[in-house]
Amino acid sequence: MKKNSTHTPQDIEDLLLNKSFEKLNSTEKEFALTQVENETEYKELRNTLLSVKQLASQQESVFVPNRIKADLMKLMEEKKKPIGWFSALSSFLFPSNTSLFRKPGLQLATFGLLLLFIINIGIDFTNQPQKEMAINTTKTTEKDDKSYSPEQVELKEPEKITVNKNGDQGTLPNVRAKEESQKIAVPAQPAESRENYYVEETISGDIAIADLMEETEDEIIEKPSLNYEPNQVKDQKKISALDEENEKIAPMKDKQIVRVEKKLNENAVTLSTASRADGEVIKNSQLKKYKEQKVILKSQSLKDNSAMIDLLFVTL
Amino acid sequence: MAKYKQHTDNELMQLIAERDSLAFSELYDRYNGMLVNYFYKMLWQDEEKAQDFMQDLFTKIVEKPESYDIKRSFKTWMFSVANNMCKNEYRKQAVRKNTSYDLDENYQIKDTAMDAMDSLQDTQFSEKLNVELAKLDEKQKSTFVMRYFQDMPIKEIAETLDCSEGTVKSRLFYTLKKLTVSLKDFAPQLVKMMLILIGINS
Repeated sequence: MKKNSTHTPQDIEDLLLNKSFEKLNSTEKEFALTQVENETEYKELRNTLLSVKQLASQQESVFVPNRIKADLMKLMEEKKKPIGWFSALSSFLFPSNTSLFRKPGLQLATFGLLLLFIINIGIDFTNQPQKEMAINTTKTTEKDDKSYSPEQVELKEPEKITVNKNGDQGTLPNVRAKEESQKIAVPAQPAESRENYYVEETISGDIAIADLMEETEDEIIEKPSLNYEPNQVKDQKKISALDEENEKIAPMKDKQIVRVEKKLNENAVTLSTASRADGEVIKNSQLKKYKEQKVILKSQSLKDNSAMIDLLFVTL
Repeated sequence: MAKYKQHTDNELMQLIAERDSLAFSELYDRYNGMLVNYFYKMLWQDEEKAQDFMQDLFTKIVEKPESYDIKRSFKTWMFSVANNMCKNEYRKQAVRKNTSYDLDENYQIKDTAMDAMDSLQDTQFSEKLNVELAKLDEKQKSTFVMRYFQDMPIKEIAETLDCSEGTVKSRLFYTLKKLTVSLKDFAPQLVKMMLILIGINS
């Protein structure tokens, strides 16, 4: 069946609306039958289409209340008014037609408060412990530096104190009398004859043995160093061993004992004694004083860290 | 006010963009009835909903007149916006578990109460038609409503729905076929009589 050139498949609507099947000419019938199966279907389609058209024409319009137009005109008038920057900003931040939690101003304020809260918590929980640690470190370092740094050690010219064979104490001509010298404890017994001086020097909490002065050209006798950590006393065995060695050296008589004073820090004066026997000067550190100092340092450190310890307990 | 009646839709929209309230009043008077009827047909014959949607559409025009593309026909632009609003509403209703089937049940209750009273046959047909329209998919429904209830030309419908005229005609024909099968027993007596008369005459 050929299609009529004057009709397209979509134009069946025109035929349905305007002509019954009986009124269609042969060409129109041919075209109609390409779209519908038979005359009956054509009539049914036509019946439905006419009914719909009739219904649409008879249908009453939906009532539109006047308030709608009034509201819209009011809105139009509001839009007509010039808007200042402040009112524009406020209307943007707090629009009237949105719910409370959807207002951008409230959302921004909440976000800002939350950010501030997080930053504050972050400062409290991160910076505070660091600050405490910094204080402790500084204290320890200061003490260490002041006490044991080799640069700050003022090595004064040794006072030469002679001990005669009778055990009486005398002063050599080149020894200057000072008030500090009164504080210096003279070893009960001078060391045996030695040719060289050796000095126990502490650097950053360590006790090192080094020569301080040489009055003879002999070799320097070095002693193994004793290490002291700032916050704890250790190697007590080594300390006691050194004590024993000093006691062995002590019985030496007829030797010059030179006391060398080292000012290690402002508060504490580290005093070393050096025993000289046969050109050798032995400078002994006051180990007991070091011990006490270390214990004090440790206790001070715990005391200073009490706030930190409390914080840790609270956190746990 | 009279001078605004002579303005075209596009001219009125330009005036509305310049905050001319009288221009808006004129445009509202031209299209409010057409729009509310369209929404009424599209949104399950819910009068209040149709009014609300119509108000929303005009509110959009007031708040954002610049969103109108001046190159387009205002009528087709307005109906395309209305059609999109209906699509959104269908999606919402789809989430709420097929509201159209609930409407079907309501219509069924009315059908049983109608009996075979000839005076109410037109109403019965109208209600059945609404039920069947509700069952159609969104594109067929909007095309059918625009064509037969808004009397829009094929060309305007094609512009509004952004498709070809052939597609519009094809959709209309197949929608008609589908409705015919559904409404076979509900053809108004008047039309039957008319068809009989035409048949006799022919």
